[in-house]
Amino acid sequence: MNSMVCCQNPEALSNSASPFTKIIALDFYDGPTGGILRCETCHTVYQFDMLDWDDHHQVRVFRLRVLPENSWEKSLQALEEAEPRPQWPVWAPCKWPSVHAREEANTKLSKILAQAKPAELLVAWLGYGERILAARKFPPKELDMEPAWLTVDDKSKFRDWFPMLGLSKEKANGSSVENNGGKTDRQKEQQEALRQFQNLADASRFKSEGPYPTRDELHERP
Amino acid sequence: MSSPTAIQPIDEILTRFGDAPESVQKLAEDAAKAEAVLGLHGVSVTAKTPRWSAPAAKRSDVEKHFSVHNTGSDPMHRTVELPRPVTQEVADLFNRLFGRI
Repeated sequence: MNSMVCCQNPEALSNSASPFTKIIALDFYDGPTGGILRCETCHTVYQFDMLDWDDHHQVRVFRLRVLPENSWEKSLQALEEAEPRPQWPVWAPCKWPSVHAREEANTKLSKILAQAKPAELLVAWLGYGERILAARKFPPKELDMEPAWLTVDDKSKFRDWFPMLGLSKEKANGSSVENNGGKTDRQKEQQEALRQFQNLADASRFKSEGPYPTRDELHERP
Repeated sequence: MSSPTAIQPIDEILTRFGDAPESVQKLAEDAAKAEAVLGLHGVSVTAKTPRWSAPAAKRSDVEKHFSVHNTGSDPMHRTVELPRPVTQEVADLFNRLFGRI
């Protein structure tokens, strides 16, 4: 884990280990699609929901809304009766001792989430959030009214959010992971690795001043 | 006196997003990752039917071959438990149930 990455500097989040090392997945579909997370570096707490994903559901684009500082502890308290017990980096509360306990937890969480500020941060990550591909701040007006992918009721309303982060959904979809096509597992692994590498390369903002990068540039030193 | 009418439970429609058939590798990877978080070796489906066309199957049909569990905080999230290892036969059956092949 890279302890220097922080949500306060979204540009530095591109192509990096994730600072979001604790994710409460309140919504889940082959990985988190919504919930509450915390930046390990600055401890800012966010509510997050998913705006877009690739066809393989590996690269996911999320909108993040800042929550009050004490929201993390309050959320854990609200979910204290849930099973399994908290586990990180991703915790998906699954079971409650009763319907009443579940409803009570949901009521408490709704009150916490209602305090979220307008969304200003857009983040793309791989799978369960283990690696950030790209991130950038947005004017809240652009993000806040957009429907989350899983709530869209009309396919024509789907918006491609990948270019907003310098990524390409076509490239992410280009992998034939879902298409057996006579290929060996090894070939499919290679294609998946290439696809992930291409997404990382697309997310990189590295640019050398000269024909060859200097040592300082390579280490991104000012 | 007429006997009371038996109440038939309403069958759920389960949706698995993505139009293309899923490979053994992808299903196996998704199932393994889910097991670490949900405690079940399986993949996600939703009982919330989208208003647009998506691969879907009746829960009762899926349950003829795989166990289906209500999982997660979302009351509509389900996990289709897959056998270990996921074989080509399992992937083909899964894809066939959801109308992808």
